[in-house]
Amino acid sequence: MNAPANPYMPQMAKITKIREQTSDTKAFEFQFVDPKVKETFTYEPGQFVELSVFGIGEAPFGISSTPTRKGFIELGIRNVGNLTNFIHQMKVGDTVGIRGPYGKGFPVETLKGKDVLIVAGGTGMFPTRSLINYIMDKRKDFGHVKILCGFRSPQELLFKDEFDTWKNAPNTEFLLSVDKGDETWKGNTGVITTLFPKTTVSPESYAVIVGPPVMYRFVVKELLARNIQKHRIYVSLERKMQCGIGKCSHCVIGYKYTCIHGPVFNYWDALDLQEAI
Amino acid sequence: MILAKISKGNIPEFLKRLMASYEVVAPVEKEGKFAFSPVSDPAKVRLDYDTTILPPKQFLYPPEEKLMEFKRDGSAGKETIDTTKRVLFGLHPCDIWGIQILDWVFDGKFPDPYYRARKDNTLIVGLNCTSPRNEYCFCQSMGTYTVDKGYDIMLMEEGDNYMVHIKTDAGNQVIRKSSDLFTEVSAEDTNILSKDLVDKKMKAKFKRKLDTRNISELLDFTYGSPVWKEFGDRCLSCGACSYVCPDCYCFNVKDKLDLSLQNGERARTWDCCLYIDFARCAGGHNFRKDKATRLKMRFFHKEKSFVDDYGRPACVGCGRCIKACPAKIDLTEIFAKLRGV
Repeated sequence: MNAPANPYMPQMAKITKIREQTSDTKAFEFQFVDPKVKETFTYEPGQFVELSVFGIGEAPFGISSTPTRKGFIELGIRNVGNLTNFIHQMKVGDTVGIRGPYGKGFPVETLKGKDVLIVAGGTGMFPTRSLINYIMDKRKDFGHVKILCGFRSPQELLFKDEFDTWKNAPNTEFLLSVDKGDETWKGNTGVITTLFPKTTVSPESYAVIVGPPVMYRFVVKELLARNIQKHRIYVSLERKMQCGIGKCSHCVIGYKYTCIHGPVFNYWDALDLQEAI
Repeated sequence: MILAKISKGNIPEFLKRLMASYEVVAPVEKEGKFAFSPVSDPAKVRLDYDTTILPPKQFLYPPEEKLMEFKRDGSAGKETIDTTKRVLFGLHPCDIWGIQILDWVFDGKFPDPYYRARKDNTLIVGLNCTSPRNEYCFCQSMGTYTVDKGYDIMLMEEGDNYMVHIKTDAGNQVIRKSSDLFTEVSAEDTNILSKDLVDKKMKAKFKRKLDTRNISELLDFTYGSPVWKEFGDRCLSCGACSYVCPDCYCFNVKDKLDLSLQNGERARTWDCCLYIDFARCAGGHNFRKDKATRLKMRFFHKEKSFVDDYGRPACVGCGRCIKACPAKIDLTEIFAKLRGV
């Protein structure tokens, strides 16, 4: 599966579980139909797949499950276009096509033994959840883990049933904010950067940032102010990775392909792509 | 170097014999211009063409190409690979270079089986140039005025004959099959050829130039230059430049269904980074909304990304984009202005 003869041909997979997240977002679990593919398919946290429904189309999605849990993959999908709209109507047992995994994931080998700061905004939670649960499953391989999450509103929280597990994990801090609260909201209100004064970030930390385009600049500013060196910062960038294999060019930023040179870039590399952030 | 000789008068017969085993694609006249087209009548072939409207890339990477057929019953898709035996006849060195650059893109870490199958079934017959073919050529600047690989046979005009450089076994085989049309090369022929290549070809002076020195760094230094806005404002985002470019290969993938809505095909079509929605993502965020950014992107990709990845720009100096642009945007002018000359 990881090196098929024809990289454009998807492997068939069935929807095995659907978890409602918000009014427009669901997490779908898939299992490959071919038992050999199901068994051997593996990936790195931060990589993505191309998901397709024949007759509707194909699009890239960050994998939100962790490779430490085998036999299935999960993708968080927000209903924002033709394909995602169709997928949102699909049921357990329906068939889709999946090819991949593609791209460079988070540098888990570099992060081993280090303190890790994870900053996730909105749907940036999808790929970061893969990293978070990877770390949770190999907890003793990593140092202190600080997770900062930001969502638009209390109704927009993603994977909230897992927040307690992360909060209670050893040597882990979990901080949450919503841009705009409501009468029931008791937590922090404000954009994600308002979480920084509420915690201490060690300058020795490695940081991983995933969120909407506007978020990176402000989060990086906070990190640099806390003396985290640029080479310790990683960002995962979203572009339209239509083919996933460095050909169609929709995801090119400056002179790099997001699909093969990214989507996870070291901040130095991102700085070299003048329109990246 | 294995050489042979064929008289110009024998070319139609050679083409006819090739047609027996191959689809032969050659330059023909089309409404006062020239186009590469599958030919059945050798008399229509015009080896005196200056350039063609579209480069030969369409026969390796068609404007629209079926990738697979599918049924909507949960079964796997069926790949569709074109293995037509084809000869691309009479390609100038720039277009042969153009194909070599496409090879880098479509091979690599994820080899593209559609392109590869077409390429493997294609025989390339080149036609040497000894001077600019028209006022748009600037191949001399791009190092693509000469070519030393990427073809099976090269025809080099010498009076009433073509001297034939046989480069590959595949080329040798088709010539052997028509050996009665070719003659041996004499020592005198070789002398004349090498004198002509040095005197005519190497000493030719091209008026149109593009200074490619440090082109990658030049683009970095001039990222914020007003030149981009100046040309971006003129650009119509029509995409003509990329359609006629031998080395533009962006594509879009679309699924199509038949009337039963149960069977269909997935196809890719040529796309262009100058189109407004090219970098638009799900949810509507567009990373390159304005024309100047898109125009700059096109050159960053071709002249910087390629230098970074493969060591040379994805431009072969054929001049088609300059000729095709309805807004008269000329990349040699853009780069001269960026350089401040």
